[in-house]
Amino acid sequence: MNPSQGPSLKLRRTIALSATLVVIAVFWGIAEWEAARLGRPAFFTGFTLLSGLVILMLLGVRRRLPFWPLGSVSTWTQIHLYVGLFTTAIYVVHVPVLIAGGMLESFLSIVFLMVTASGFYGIYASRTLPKRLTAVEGQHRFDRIDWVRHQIAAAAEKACQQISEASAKQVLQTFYQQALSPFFVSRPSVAYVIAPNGNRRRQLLGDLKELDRYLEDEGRRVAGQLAALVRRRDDLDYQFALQLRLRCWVVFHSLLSLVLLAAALVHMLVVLQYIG
Amino acid sequence: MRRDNLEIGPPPRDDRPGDSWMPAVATDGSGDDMRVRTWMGRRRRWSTIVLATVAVVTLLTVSFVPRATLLEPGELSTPHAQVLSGVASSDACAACHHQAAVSPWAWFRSASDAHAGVTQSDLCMDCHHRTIAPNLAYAAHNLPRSVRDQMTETIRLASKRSDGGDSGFLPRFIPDTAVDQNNVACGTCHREHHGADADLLALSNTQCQTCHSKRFGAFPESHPDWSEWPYGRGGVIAFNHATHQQTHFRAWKSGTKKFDCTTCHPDVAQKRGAPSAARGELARVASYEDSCMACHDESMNVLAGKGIDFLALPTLPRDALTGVEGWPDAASGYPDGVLSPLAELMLRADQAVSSAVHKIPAADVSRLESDADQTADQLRRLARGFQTLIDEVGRSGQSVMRQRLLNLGISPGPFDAVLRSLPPQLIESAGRSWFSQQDATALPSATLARPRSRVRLVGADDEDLLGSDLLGDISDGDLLLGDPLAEGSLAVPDADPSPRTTPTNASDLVRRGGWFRDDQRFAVSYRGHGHADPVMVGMIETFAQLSDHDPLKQRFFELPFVVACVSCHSGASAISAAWNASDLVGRRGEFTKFSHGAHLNVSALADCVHCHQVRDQTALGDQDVVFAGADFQPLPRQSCAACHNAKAAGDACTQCHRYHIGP
Amino acid sequence: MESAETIPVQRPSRWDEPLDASMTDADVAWLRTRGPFNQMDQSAFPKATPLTGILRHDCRLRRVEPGEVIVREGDYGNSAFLVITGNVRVLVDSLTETQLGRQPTRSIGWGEALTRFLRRSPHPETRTPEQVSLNAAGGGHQSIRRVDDHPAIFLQDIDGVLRRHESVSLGPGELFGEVAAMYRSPRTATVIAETEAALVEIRWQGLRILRRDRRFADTLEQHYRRHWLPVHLREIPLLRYLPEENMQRVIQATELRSYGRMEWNADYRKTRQLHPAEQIASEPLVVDQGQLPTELIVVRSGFGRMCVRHGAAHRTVAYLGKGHLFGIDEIAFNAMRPESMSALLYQHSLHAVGFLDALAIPIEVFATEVLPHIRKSELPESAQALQRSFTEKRKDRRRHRSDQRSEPAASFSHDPSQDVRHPTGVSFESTSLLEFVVQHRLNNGRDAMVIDLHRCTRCDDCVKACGDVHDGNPRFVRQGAVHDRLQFVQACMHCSDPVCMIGCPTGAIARDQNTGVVSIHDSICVGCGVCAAACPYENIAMAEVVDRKGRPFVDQASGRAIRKATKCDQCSGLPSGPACVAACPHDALVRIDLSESPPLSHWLEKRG
Repeated sequence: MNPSQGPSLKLRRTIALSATLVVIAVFWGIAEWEAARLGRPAFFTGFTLLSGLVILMLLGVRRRLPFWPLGSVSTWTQIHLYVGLFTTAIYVVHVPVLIAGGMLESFLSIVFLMVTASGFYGIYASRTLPKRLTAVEGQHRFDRIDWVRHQIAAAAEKACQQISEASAKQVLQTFYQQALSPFFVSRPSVAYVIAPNGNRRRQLLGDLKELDRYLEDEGRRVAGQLAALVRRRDDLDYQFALQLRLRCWVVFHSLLSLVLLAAALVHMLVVLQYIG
Repeated sequence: MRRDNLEIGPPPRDDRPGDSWMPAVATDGSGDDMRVRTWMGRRRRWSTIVLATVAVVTLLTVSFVPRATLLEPGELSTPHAQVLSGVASSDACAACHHQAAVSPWAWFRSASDAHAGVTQSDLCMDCHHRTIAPNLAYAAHNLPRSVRDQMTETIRLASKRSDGGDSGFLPRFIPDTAVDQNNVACGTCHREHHGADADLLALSNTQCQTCHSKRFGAFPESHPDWSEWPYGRGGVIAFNHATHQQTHFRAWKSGTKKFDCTTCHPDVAQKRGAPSAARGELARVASYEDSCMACHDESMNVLAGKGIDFLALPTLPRDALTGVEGWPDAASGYPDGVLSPLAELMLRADQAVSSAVHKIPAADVSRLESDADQTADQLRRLARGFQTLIDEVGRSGQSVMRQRLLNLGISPGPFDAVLRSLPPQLIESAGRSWFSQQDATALPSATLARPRSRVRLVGADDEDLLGSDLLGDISDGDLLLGDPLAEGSLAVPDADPSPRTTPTNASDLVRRGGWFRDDQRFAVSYRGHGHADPVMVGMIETFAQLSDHDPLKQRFFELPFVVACVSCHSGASAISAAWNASDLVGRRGEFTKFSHGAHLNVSALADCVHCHQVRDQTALGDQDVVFAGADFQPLPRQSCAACHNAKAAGDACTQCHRYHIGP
Repeated sequence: MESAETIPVQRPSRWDEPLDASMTDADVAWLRTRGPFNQMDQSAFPKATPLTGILRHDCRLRRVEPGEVIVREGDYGNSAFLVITGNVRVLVDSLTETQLGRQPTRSIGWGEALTRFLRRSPHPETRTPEQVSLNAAGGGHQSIRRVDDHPAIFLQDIDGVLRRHESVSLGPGELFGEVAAMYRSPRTATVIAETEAALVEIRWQGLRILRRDRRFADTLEQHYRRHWLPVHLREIPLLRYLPEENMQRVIQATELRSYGRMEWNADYRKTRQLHPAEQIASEPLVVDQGQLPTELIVVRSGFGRMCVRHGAAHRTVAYLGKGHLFGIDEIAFNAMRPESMSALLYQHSLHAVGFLDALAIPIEVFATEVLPHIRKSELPESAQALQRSFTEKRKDRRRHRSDQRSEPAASFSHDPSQDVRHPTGVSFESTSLLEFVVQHRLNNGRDAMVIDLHRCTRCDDCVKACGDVHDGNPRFVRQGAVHDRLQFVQACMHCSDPVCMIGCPTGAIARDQNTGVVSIHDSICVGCGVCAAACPYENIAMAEVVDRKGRPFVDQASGRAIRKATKCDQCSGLPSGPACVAACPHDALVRIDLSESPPLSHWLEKRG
């Protein structure tokens, strides 16, 4: 895989997208054609959908078999994207209404739509969130974020305790105990994880800055260190929130797709039995 | 790096993201044995929990929710849902799905099950056999193959004549015989479970034509032309709009009075007083009293006044009357007289006479070859036939006539109206007066003598009083019988040839209609009066049952009295006599359906002549006038296509055509 | 050399750190009586670095036993060996991997890959006893033994080996391994001890000072000029049509130059913290911009930074690696220019990054001997065409050599003008990226792992995949220096100058001749940690190993835990190729050759 070879991403995307659209058009035409001759295109589109689902699920299989040369996962992801697009279109052709009536069918269609929606969100998220992550300093490994959080808390504690000046000690330690310690020790709130924002950081930094007028040089230095730690901690939480979002999305998508496949199989069996 | 930053070393590098656990970090750095879940570990745990929850919820759902509720793929259309509303939900699927009676486990058992051969369509027909003939239910259009083939040919020819050809991209690519035309399942077109409001009848044009060997594109361009629709469909009542408008209603045409269509074709619903929303369907014809009587009543009564004979004795030669007792002298002589159709019908039923009757050309006795050997014998049998008929009717009454009709294979139902009005005593008395010139002892025939004596016996007790009382009772209630009674009461006591010399024309006695005896012609006749005379109706319906090739039928329908009816009621002579023009709307026997309702809402179409333009009668050739419907300008396809295209009123096949052709 | 604590933390002054602290005065005195030291003129050495000092600090006495492998073909080393007593054999033929105790790379089938995946150990760093020690595998043979204080690997069946393979015997007074030490090239032959022998190991620093002695220096130089310089010159495509006699004159005229310190990896940790300007200033200057061109510089090994003055400091324009030419444009122009035009001065300056070994061909020789034999089409317009053909040729050769390698190694060569031609700031700020790469010495990497952070969703699938194919132990963690949108992950880069291979006592860390992959052979790794300490990128980790039940292996003698060096092995042998690349769902991760800039810039261009 020489990185300098091969078409550019843009060209590849254009080709793949138009190929997908052509295939969608062909399948749509076949379905229409079958409907026009009083056939049941639902069978055709249904089995196409099921095969599409299976192909889509294969990405998960490929991800779990890293040791076999089955093509790179990124290739599979590309296939996954376009097959997903295709499957969504076929779904629209397949169903009479977007959310079907009946218990099983409506469940199936809701699950399908949720998986589809999460898939499209995934495209969006995996294209935008990395840039936001990159913009924040420090590239933390997700599993080590707890570790870093502890380290920051410990460093803050240490910085606070090393103050020798009595006045500064009193001012800073009070502030530390009231505001900083809870911030450093606790995990970020759920609200922050869902929608990270800079309020907390601004407020703490503003308060720290406010303390400057009560402090001498050493105190200010420590306050500066604490401010830096606040920033680091906030960056860390930001990273945590976005990485968690990216990971939760994958879990959501893959779990639901399992449910979807099972429901689709049940649907197929029921249809095959009751068709008369 | 910022100056203020405190150094925080890189985290440990012993990552194993594939593991579920990793060593925990404690604030003090210790905690060797502690461990926490990695992301992968958390992910595995949550996945297990979620999947287990889903499984449990599924199990609960499956065990507590009935199968029909669970598996129903979409709501049934309202009518079907209503039918099934009372059914226990466990049986609901089985109402339409024969498979539902089979449990999923049956898949793993042998394939022999009691439901083999039952299709879903059979279950449909369990309910729908009323509207669709079960024997042809699965044939395309519910028509036998031969009829379909014939129609195919018709359409092929029509499309050949038509200037439009098939067009459209898709229709050409639809392969033939997508569906077995002799076994079309209901579900092929009617798809259920698409919601309460779903249209089970919705079909696209291409879907309609899937089976068709000849396919058409859009209606405006490609539908084959028709020749005479909607006019040439054989109206039951003959009515020529052209002559009425242009000849008989000149004054109206000239503008002093309008030839208004709604006079004769009012809105049905409006007439009933239904709300305007339901209006729109026009009456096919106006009532006689409203529309026709003013002009036609008089002339019809004139024609009806000629009366119709139940029987009339022909004049027979003397040599033929040897052995026929009591034949009136006035009816003896050179053979003459035409058998009245009613009499002929009755005589046909007498096996002794029927062969003789058939041999008389055009039922005209005079046209028999007088010198032929058999003629005398035939005429003798004829004379006896008359006598027997009169005698039997006189003795056994209506049942004789009914029985005779039955013997001829004619349903006596319609004739009941005749029977009810025709008193057997009238016949009996006529027979008595006509044949009584001879002495009673002269009756040689045992068959005749015995019954007659019995009547005589009855009559001998108190013949006059009894007769007059009896008839008088009847005459009180029945206007029609008043005159014959009066005449009878006069004639019977006389018992002499004096009635023959009655100066009055007998038919004038019953100017308002009714039965009468004409002793001059030796006839018992009926004079009709007014529209829809029930006796005439009964007669016509009775004769309508005869084969069209039967000369008797033809003769009957040429009678002036009958002509008075059937000149307008042209449908009355059909094998099943049709008097009233039935509404075409709602009929299921035709491919094409039409409703004025939707059309009259369009202001341009509210004027009837927009579509229905009466032809100029003078421009018509004589031969054209003969054909029903020729009084209108043809309604060309283009005028329909002005609205019926994809952009406006729609060009779907199903808008004008029905699929299920049935009774 | 046994412990990992030898990482120098200050700028080492001369002999702060002796090669062998146990060298005594007696040893030195004894050595002085042996040749060639007895014939050396002590006065030729500076006061600060007397001969005795060199012997004391830069030398080590080594006793070898029969069959012991002293140096291996393909090894990198920075010391030469002098035979004092006994005989050693130089094997002209190559030995097999197995004979050297290494596990030859074999391709693993699909089935075995699956089995390995399914039978992953729940414990970190699990090894079988055979993997822990070669001795455990060999039937009674002690392939690895300690000789005196160092572990050594022994050939089995020496007689057979010597019979089957052509070899040259070296006796007392003869020197070997000096070319590899001086010129930073792989050892060209394997040397084993024929009899019990005493050797003096002289490290590169000592060797350089010993060249103060004329005779010694002449011997070395003659040897190099006779045997190696022609080979190196022939590799330069510019000289490929040179007749033999011209070549001889070029060989005569060519000068050998060395700049910087060979142990650049020791300095690197400090200098990387410096500001780029300071760093460039601290680098030894090879050629300064604006001088009149006097010679053509051919980089033989090491790295050079080509910069141009920009404002008050220098801006890096390109970096040079082995085989690259410097000054060809100017020299060609000057040689061909009409009299009316003034001579072109050096357009760039060249600095040695770490160390730089160069051949300098004087301009007169070049003009008279070389220029007439260069195709007109290749000169004088641009040297680019030339250098490109040079690139092609090398590529072909490499591809030919590595036909069973799934992805052909990118060429070592480099087009210096590449980044200049492409306007900066299209996809990345070229100069800053160049500076970054050089500052972090990433230009050493032949198969560096680079992550595009704008695509990476931080899913760690790459690490997981790595763990999945390595018995659950990922060979890297997803961290490393970040520049703009690129993260240079701390995974083994299989460097073009593999400093980690210097000093391995058993040759456990070795470079595959075909693929260039540097891998560690577990069974002969003694866990000394030299490689991990030497790797400037901290890409080698020492791990204590356990068996499948999680019981740690311990040394029989000392009872200490057995440690093994672990690092990325490029998944060699696995059918999937590098699992990390294959596993990335977003095409964010790539293994790329950073020894030149085009692959990286092409890759960046492609992602737009």
